[in-house]
Amino acid sequence: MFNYDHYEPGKNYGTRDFSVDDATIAKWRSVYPNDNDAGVMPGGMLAMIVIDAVLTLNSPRPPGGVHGGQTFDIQRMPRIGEILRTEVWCLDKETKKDRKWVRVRSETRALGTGELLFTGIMTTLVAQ
Amino acid sequence: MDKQLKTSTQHVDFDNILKYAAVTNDYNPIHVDKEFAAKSPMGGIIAHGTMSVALIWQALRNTLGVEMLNRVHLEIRFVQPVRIDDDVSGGGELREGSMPPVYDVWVRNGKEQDVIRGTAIIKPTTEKTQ
Repeated sequence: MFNYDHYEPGKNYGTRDFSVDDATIAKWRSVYPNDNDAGVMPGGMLAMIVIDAVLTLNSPRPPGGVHGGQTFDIQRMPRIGEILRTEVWCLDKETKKDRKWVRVRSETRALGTGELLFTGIMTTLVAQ
Repeated sequence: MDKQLKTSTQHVDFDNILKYAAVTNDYNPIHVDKEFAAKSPMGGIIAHGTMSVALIWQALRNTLGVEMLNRVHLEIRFVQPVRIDDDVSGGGELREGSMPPVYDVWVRNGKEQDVIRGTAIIKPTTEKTQ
C-alpha cells in the first residue's frame, strides 16, 4: 500500500503517458461544455494529467486521501492530439497536528520533442 | 490587464461528480461512495477539488484569452470542500500595482464562502524553462 511511510523525499517514481486525444476531450466537454477552444487542451485538464500520473505511479493508495493544494507553472498549454509524458517525484512530507502531508512534484513534457510544457506541485493529505 | 476576471460558474451534482471521476479515473471513495464518505471525517460526499479549479482556468481564459494561459503560474489551496448541489463560481481580481500582474483567484460556493484561494501570476513573455 502506497501510504505516508512509503514516500521518500527526492525519490523519482517514473513516468506516465497521457494522450490528449479527441475521445478524452469529448469526455471532458461532457462535464465542461464551454471548454471548446479549437486545438488547445482545456486548462482544467492540467490537474487531470497530474492526478492520472500520481494515482498510477503511487498506487495502490489508501482510500480517503484529500487534495490540499496545487501549483502549475505553464510553459506552453498542451495541444489536442499531443501525447504527454509526466514524471513524478516526492518533493517532501511532514506530519502536522497528526495530519500526514505529502508534496509531489511533476514535470510534463511533449512526447517526442521533450519540450517542457508545465510543472506542478501537488499537496495531499494522505489517509494513512 | 482586466481588473476583474470574468466569473465562471457550475452547478455541482452527484451526476457531474461521477462524470468527472470517469474522465479523470479518480474514484476515491470520498467522492463517489456515499456510505464511505458519510463515515469519513468529511461526513459525506465531497467533489474532487480539481473539478472546481477548472473554473479558475475558464475565468482566466475568458478574460485574458487562451494564448495568455501559456504564461500563467497558478498556486491554489483547497480551503473548504464542495458538496453536492453547491453552485460554485470561479473568478479573481488583479492585485493593484502588481508587476508581473498577479490575480488573487478564488472559487466560491453559493454562500459566498471561499472553497479555493490562490494566485495566478502572469509571467513575462521572456521566461522560458527547458
